[in-house]
Formats: sequence, structure tokens, C-alpha cells
Amino acid sequence: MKEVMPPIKLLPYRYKRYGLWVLITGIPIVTLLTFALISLGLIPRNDAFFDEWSKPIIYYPIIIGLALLNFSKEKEEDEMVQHVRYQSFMTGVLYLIVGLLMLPLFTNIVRLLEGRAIGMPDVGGMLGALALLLFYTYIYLRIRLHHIRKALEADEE
Amino acid sequence: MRNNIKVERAKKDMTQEQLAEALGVSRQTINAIEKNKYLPSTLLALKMSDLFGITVNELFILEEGD
Repeated sequence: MKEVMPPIKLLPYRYKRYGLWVLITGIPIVTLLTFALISLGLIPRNDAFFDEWSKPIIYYPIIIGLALLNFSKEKEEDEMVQHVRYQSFMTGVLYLIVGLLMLPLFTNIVRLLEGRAIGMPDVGGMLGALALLLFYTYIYLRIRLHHIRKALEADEE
Repeated sequence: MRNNIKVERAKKDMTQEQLAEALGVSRQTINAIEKNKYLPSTLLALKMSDLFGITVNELFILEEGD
């Protein structure tokens, strides 16, 4: 029978080191790059870095660095590590769901304690990304299960 | 579930490190299996029982409630 559940492919262990390098050097590099773009006139306003570019741009090296750390093998990669990795992803996503959904509540508790009016914090983008992650994960699961069932049915015939 | 890995390892005079190397896994995985913190895959269980020259049922024993 054709293998329907191939093992998950991961990057070699050395990519952990690259991930760390991206995390350490990435933020200064993208900051300098943005300032270079401003000085070249490609970004029209000088203050655009501080009110528009700085926050999203620093997430690029953070996300790339963390992705490299997450999607690369351990020094001694075996089935237990893979099991723990799967558990870690599930736990990480669960914490993210709970944290993001509770964020407006915690923000408003702090606001009320400070005597300020309540309001909705800017979590729209984060909630959208989380919804996409859950959507992609669920769709991938359905597609994979469908393919596995089809392959097993074809094997039985 | 309990297992006889430690006993079988002692019979063969093998360390966890040597067993791990023979099976292509880490020592911490062997340690976790021995202490019932991790259930190995069928493939690893078969490789292990083959190495000790016993059946999987002799190496891993089901207990009531499993």
C-alpha cells in the first residue's frame, strides 16, 4: 500500500542556529533597512517609521526566527520529540486563543481601575490571523483525512 | 501498562545510552519509555523486542484499566 501518512518534514538542526541569528540580528537589520528606505525617499514621510512601520516590521524577524526554531529538527530528533512538538503546537495555539479572546476583558479591567472609559483594543488583525490559522488547520485536517480514507478504500478494492 | 525494559536491558548489560543508540532514538526517550512517561510507536516497540529477543507482549504488559 502506498504510504498515506508520511512523516512530517522538518528543516535540519542547523536551522535552529539560523533562527536564533534572525531573532538576534533581525530587528536592527529591518530597522536600518526602513531608515535606508526613508533616506532614499521611498518612504515619503520621515516619521512614518515610528507611527506606521516600526511595529509590523519588527514582527518579521521575530516570526521568521521563531518559525525556523519551531520547524527545525532537534539535535536528537525521534518519535517522542515529534509527539512533544505536536503537543506544544496544540498548547501554544490554545493559549493564543484564550489569551486573545480575553485580551479585551483584561484591557478594560485595567482601564476601569484607572478610571478610564472602556473600549475595544485594536485586536482585529490578531483575531483575523488566529481565525485564519484555525481555518487552515481544520481544512488541512479534513483534506488529509479525506485523502487517507480514499487511499484506504482504494486499497481495499 | 508496565514494561520490562530495565530488566531486559540489565540482562543484556546495556546502558540506556547503548539501547538508545541501537534503536536510533535519544537516551531521554528510552528513559521516558522505561518510566512509562511515553508510549512508543509499534515500530519502536517491535525493534526493541527484536533486539532483546522476546515478543512485544513480554516487553510491554497490559494492566487492568488499560
